[in-house]
Amino acid sequence: MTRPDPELASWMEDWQSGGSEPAAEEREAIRRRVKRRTRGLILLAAGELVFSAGVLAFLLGFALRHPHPADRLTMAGLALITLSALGFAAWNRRGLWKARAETTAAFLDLSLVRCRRRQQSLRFAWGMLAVEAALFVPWIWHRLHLDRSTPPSPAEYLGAYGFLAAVCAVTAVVLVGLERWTRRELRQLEAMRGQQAARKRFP
Amino acid sequence: MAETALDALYDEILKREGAALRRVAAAYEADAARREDLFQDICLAVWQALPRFRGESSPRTFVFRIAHNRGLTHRSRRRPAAADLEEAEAVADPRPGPEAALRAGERRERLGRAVLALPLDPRQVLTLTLEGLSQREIADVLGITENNVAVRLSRARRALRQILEEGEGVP
Repeated sequence: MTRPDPELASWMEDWQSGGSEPAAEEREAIRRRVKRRTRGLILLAAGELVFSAGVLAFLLGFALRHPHPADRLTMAGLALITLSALGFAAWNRRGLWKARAETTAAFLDLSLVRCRRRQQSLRFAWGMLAVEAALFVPWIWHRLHLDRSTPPSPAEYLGAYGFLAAVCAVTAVVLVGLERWTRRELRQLEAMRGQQAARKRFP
Repeated sequence: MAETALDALYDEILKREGAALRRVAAAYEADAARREDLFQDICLAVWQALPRFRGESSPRTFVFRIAHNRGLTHRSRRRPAAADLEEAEAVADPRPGPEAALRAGERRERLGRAVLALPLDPRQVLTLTLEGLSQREIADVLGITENNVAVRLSRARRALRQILEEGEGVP
């Protein structure tokens, strides 16, 4: 490398005098924190699988304990949705596990793909929510009327369907929030990519 | 790579490049608390990428590439209004720190603010240059040609000079 001119050399000197070098204790603390967060990320990924396995086990157990065709059909539908979600998640992550250590231009492209895939996941989640709600509405009706001579009271209807509505509403709010966040990130990434493309054409 | 070897390499990287990684974080985030978060994110990303380091590039290039990639992610996830406000503050308030502070500290602070006010592309090229990377290394990190690095650097310097000169007149 050729020796920088005085202006650049002076900026380099000023720039490099900033940012404190982490002392041994701080390095140790950073390493501990980093390992803890890495373990957290692994646990999160494992938790997703364990949760799905737990849901499937619960659905199977419920279907075995309740032989009514409506119960079994609903549990089979929910199990199918859970398995589809797992399959979709795996399919949607294809090609996203490339090494992070690519160029920043390649990283920007990868970030854009990740963002668009997240949008696909969210669309899938909306569909899942709709199908689940469509399964739960008749099933709740069936459970409320099962093995009883008198019809359920309005309070029972309200409790059961109100709970379903609340779960759907909370899920919808979370999905809308995630959609907004993803759209904002996508806009910013596209703007960065656009700047980069323009500079490539007119450096 | 064995865990202990990985630990040793990580410690070495933090020792040698820790200050530079903090400066990369400062080039993407003006707010002190969020800057520290970004520094932690960069450290995490370096740790996660370390087992994949095969020595095809220098450790410095490898680390800076990861750091700038994290910076990009951080920037793309920020709320634009807050980000713009921070950058506007960085441009509009180029006053040096407290009078008692050393002149070198004041110059460093002004330079940091001016760098933050640059658009993303020239900012990346400039900060890597200020870290002492060669044009070849910068081209490797950013995935652009050396000619492109030279052109961007020249523009970045012009823009930086202008921002610093405008800041001179502010009491």
